[in-house]
Amino acid sequence: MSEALLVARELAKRHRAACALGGVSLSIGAEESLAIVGESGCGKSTLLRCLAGLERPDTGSVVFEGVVVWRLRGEQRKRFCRGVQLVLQDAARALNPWWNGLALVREPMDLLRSDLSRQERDVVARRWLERVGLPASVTERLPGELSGGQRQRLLLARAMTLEPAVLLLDEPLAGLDPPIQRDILDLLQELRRDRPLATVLVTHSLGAAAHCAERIAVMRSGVIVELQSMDSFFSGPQHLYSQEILAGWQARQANFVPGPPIKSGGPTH
Amino acid sequence: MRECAWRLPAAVTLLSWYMLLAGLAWMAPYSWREQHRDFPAAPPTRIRMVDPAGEWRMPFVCKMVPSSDSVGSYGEDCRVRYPVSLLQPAGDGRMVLFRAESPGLLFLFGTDDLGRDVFSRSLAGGTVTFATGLLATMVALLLAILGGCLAGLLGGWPDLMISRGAELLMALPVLYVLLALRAALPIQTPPAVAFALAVGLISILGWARPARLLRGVVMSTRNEGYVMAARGFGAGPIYLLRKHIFPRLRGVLGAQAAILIPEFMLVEVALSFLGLGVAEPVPSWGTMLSSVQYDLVADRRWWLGFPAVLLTLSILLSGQVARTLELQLQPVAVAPEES
Amino acid sequence: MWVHFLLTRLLQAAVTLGLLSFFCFALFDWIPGDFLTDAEASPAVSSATLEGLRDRYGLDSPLGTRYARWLDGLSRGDLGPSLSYQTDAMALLLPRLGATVLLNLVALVVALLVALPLATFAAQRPDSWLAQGAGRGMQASLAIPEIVLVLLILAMAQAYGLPLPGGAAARAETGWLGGLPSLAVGLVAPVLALSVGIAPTYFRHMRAAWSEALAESYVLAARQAGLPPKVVRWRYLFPAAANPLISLLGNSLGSTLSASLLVETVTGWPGLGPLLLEAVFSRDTYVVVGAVMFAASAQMAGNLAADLAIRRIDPRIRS
Repeated sequence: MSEALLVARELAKRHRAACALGGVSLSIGAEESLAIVGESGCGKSTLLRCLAGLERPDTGSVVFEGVVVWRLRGEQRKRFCRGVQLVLQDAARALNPWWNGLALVREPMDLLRSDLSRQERDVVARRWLERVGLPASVTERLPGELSGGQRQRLLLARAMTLEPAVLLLDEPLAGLDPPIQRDILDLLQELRRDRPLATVLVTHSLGAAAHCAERIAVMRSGVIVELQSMDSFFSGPQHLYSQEILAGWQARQANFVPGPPIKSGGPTH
Repeated sequence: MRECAWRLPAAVTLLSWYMLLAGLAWMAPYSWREQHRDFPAAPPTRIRMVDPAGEWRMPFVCKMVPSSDSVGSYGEDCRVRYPVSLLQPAGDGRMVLFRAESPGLLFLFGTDDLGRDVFSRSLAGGTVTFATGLLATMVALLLAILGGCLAGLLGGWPDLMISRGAELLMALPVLYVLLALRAALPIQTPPAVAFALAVGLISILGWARPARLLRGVVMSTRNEGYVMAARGFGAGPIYLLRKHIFPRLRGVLGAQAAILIPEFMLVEVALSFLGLGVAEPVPSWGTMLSSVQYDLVADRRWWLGFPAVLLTLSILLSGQVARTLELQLQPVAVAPEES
Repeated sequence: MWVHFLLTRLLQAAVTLGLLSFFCFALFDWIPGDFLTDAEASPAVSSATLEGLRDRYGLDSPLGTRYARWLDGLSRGDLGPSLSYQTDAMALLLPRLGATVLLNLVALVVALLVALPLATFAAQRPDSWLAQGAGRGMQASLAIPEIVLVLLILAMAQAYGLPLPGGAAARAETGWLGGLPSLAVGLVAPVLALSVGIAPTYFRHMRAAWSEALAESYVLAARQAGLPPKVVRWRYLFPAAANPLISLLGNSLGSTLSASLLVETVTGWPGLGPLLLEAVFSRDTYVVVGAVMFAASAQMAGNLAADLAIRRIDPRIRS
């Protein structure tokens, strides 16, 4: 593993009475890909928001390039925002429903790339829309007029316009049909191939994690119970909980073999 | 759908109604303070088109003759005719809506005790009442924006203070508190001060409801994913307010304005009706109606009720517009659509 | 659980009233002049008399002292002196509060008696001529401002010789029971004016709530199952429609009280309104504060009663 870009030290946070994070330490190296799995409510989203500097942990710290994230102000904060981007859960809500595609993709640059002129920003925005595989007509459309997969691509394009070093993805596959999920994961792989990019993918699906991450962290009740390379996780998980979810996943894989789509009128099993 | 079709006409009608009132007040046949001492309590002047000989003529009015036996009863002497003309320049350089050729007098809605033209005073009074409602609405909405945004954005103790303050205000009967506050302030004041006091008091008591509404919208918007996302792009509170939150407030503000203007106009009318708003000789629909109380039936001077008709019409129109605007400006929900 | 709720609400009400009264005192203190300012101008009143009066009413003591003294009196049921009537403000205000509450209650009951049956009928048979006519009529009377309504009723009362409460109240002083008939007659005009203003709001809300309840699937199921209409009406529809109705009752009390102030003043009903107005003009500080306190308490009591009733009726809110 190369030098650490983004480091979390002993993050703890409580939401009212409930413990959301109970001392999580994590380091993400350049160009690394990490997947965080766990059931809903285990603190995955809170962890990502803390990493992105959107929530402040009660104790512990997040360090980016040697500086504690919550202390950042002004130019340094801008630098951090350009370096670490979070793609939020629930694409339908993460896009302002009254803005068209172009304005949405341009928004990060409007805020963080004041060095570019309006025309340049437009050009970059269009290039990224094309890069994530969206038709040019999306620039004029409102989020409500896009499909779920298109909205997810839009979110990716939006984050990528800043050319971040770390991309944090919070359940990017939720609510999407399996083929679309596959497309999104493939797109993510392509983006990583294009440029140096570290990704942290939060998901509850082991399949997605295996598809596009080298390391895996298993979270339960606000703590990371296991942090492994993907290969050793699949060959022999250490923690009891990890064994449980792996066994559950394998059982599902055995029962439902994803095949070609069933044609209507054909036999069902 | 039917509501949608009527939306634009309703708003335009309302706007033109108030513009008409203000414009007509400017073009009123007489000044609101001009007293025709020889003609107190005169009934509406009849505009005739047939002269005593039975011949058709251009519209004219007859000479008004005060009867000698009692004050307030008049006869007509139609041997002397004064033609009525529309849109004539008056002596003071104004363009006047209509007038009888001098020295003829044309009181479209009669005169009051002091011989002042009820029609002209109604128009001027409407302008005062509407201006109070409009200004009070603007001030109240400004206060509401300030309070709602502070409470919604900051949360914590500012939110607690503002929300509790608003709830406190809403738990009180408005007119009673208004009177109590007004009692503490000087009663006899020049009209301009009384006007400012009315605007101030109404807006201070009226900001609570819109502020709570706005706070709700700000709060729900603040928790939206796209605001969180913008914060992830390093957006500060000013940017969030300007780009994401204010556009959401616009609809609420429009609907609230449409609701508050007639409401505040009625409060002004009540206040000046009770003698605590702008006072004589400056007219407001409230002050004009307060004199009606005693004269309307006892002396059969029904024409003094004219401001009540105008007031009812205004409130009716405003109510229609408020309803349609409320329907129109409800935030559009994005259809959740999955591929 | 509901004891806790009740206590919280009572505490909130007490805080509200405390803030309101203190604010009134502070404002009266801040603005120059008091009840005796007018007396000063008159040469008939000697400066010694003035000083005596000031001393007696403590008008010269600082704000804090006066407010503390007022609070102290309040705990003993004393609202301070009425300066212009030379008597206890409490003695002056209590009968007036009674009259205002009586007028509001009677008007509310009359309005509900007219609006509710009409509304349920209109919801059940929206196409009948009665429903259409009632809808139109209610909409029209909703648009008429209260003040115009009162003037209209006043004009009609004068035209048709309906006795107004001013005279009735004078006759009522002969004794409570003896005055009852004249009191009832005196109520007619103000109740009419007030309830015509209230009824349309209840009509509209009740019609909406009732037709919404009619469309609920559990109501449809009950009717499908062949339950008698009476049972459906009282066991299914009424509870569903009662909740919005009661919250409306609680919420609209304030505007009803404000409207009642106008009605009382114009028709001469001896309620809080005319007294407050008189006190405002004569700067009778303690009476003003007392009247506002009473009106605010009346509204908050009504609100609280409505909330308690909703918690009783609607099981969803209790948790």
